Amino acid sequence: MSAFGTLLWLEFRKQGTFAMGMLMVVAGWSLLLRQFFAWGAEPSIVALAVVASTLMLAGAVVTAYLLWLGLDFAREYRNGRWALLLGAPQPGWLHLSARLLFACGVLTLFAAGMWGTLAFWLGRVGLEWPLGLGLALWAYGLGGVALVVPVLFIGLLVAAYLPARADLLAFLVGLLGLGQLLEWSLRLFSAQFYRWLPPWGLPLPRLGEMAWEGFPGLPSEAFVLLVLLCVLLFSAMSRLWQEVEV
Amino acid sequence: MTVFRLGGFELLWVSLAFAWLTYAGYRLWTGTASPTARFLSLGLILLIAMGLLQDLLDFSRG
Amino acid sequence: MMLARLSSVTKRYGKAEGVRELSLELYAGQAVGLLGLNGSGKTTTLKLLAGMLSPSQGHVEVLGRPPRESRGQIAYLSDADSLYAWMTPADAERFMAGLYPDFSPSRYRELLAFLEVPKQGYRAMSRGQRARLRLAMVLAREARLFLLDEPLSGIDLISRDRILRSLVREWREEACLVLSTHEVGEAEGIFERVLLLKEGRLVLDTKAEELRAKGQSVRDAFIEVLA
Repeated sequence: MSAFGTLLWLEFRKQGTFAMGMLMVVAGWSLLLRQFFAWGAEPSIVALAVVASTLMLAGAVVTAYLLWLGLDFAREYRNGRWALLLGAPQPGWLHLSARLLFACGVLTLFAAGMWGTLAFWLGRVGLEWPLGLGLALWAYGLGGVALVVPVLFIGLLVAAYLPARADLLAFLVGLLGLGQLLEWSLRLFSAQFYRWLPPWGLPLPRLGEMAWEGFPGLPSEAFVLLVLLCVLLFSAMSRLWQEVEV
Repeated sequence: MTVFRLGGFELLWVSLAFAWLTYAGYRLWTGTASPTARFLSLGLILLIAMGLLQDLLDFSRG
Repeated sequence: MMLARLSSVTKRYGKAEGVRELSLELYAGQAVGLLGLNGSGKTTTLKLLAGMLSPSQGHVEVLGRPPRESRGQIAYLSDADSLYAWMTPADAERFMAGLYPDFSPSRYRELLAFLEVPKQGYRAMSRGQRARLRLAMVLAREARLFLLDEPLSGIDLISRDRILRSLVREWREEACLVLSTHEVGEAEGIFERVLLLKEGRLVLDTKAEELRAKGQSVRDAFIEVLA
């Protein structure tokens, strides 16, 4: 088996239980949503409750997963497994790509599951969820990368400072610094949105009777910026991987 | 429109924030042998300091 | 042939020093015992050679390059209880074969049999069985420099002696073995070269036959130097 395949297999074995738990949440939630309809309130109120609670649950589960993922480097370090991973003559980007790909896969599957649940139950009260599955998967996939890359970045930075016991400091600096990086990028680039590249045309979203006729699409520049920041952070991480001390 | 003024209380908080950033910079620079980690943490600390300064400027302009 | 060299290496952890002004050369075909009391710098020395730590001062090279660039040639076994709890010996084989191109599955299976490693998961193994599995994983590599940090801790005394003697007796000409231990008696009559560390400094670097010629045992030399 190739090195990348082995690393994916390793992620599967490490995260299998957590990832299965997330898929069980989807199944459990789908059954629980039936209760909203037994409630017998106005369809619009039921729809609002279904959307709000699903988004809240999905947010909580995704946050828990990202926390688990970020803390995994520290766990590997504390359990003495760094030496096994760093000792292998594979480049850092290969290890990180496996983690990134696997995490994005789990998040996308989870998001698609939650999307299916939401679309199904909204359909029961005659409402259509405005994002189509194809678009939702695409957006969740990219959103997943945008979430997972910074989480891995902070996790690895924290792990780099574990031997010096400056991990909490590294975490705070990483968190505040990345927030600042995003803010500055938006400040610098927001004037350019819609200027250079065409907006991404979305299929016209509809929510009941509402149609967003005047919506031009999403700004391509924001996505380009996002991808650039992710590439930048990823290459910094790959270098960091080669230099971490055990 | 009221203009934000730097009084004693605000000055104390801002000084504390910069002192903490200086301390963090020292600890993170000396806490690792990895040049990438050093420069990354220094870069992030500079970004935070710049953000803080920018916020101060924005506030004082009202 | 020289495989690795430490030149005036100092490693500091904050204000504390792990090793101080350490210079050392390691050659192919040697089986070297690295001795010292707890906290004398054995683990730091092995980690510096493995590229797991960077020196605060001085240079480390393995096969003429920084250790991290020679990782494919270095087989390092840490003293930590460092394997995934769910791993069975078969999982460990899959892991090693995928990540380490010089890993030999046939040699690994021979080692598993020789070391009497059970087939169950790592979680269910005793401390000694875990140590045996980790040892098999590392020794099944075709590396040039083997750095084993207290590899026999947790293994019963009789087996320790059997494993160590067999390991050194069949040592390969093209590779160098450095094995750290705080059990001085273990090194007696086994290693051809003995290094002794005290408070981060190399205080003794001698060939076993030179000690024998002086009528000294490794234990005598150890006590003499520490005193």
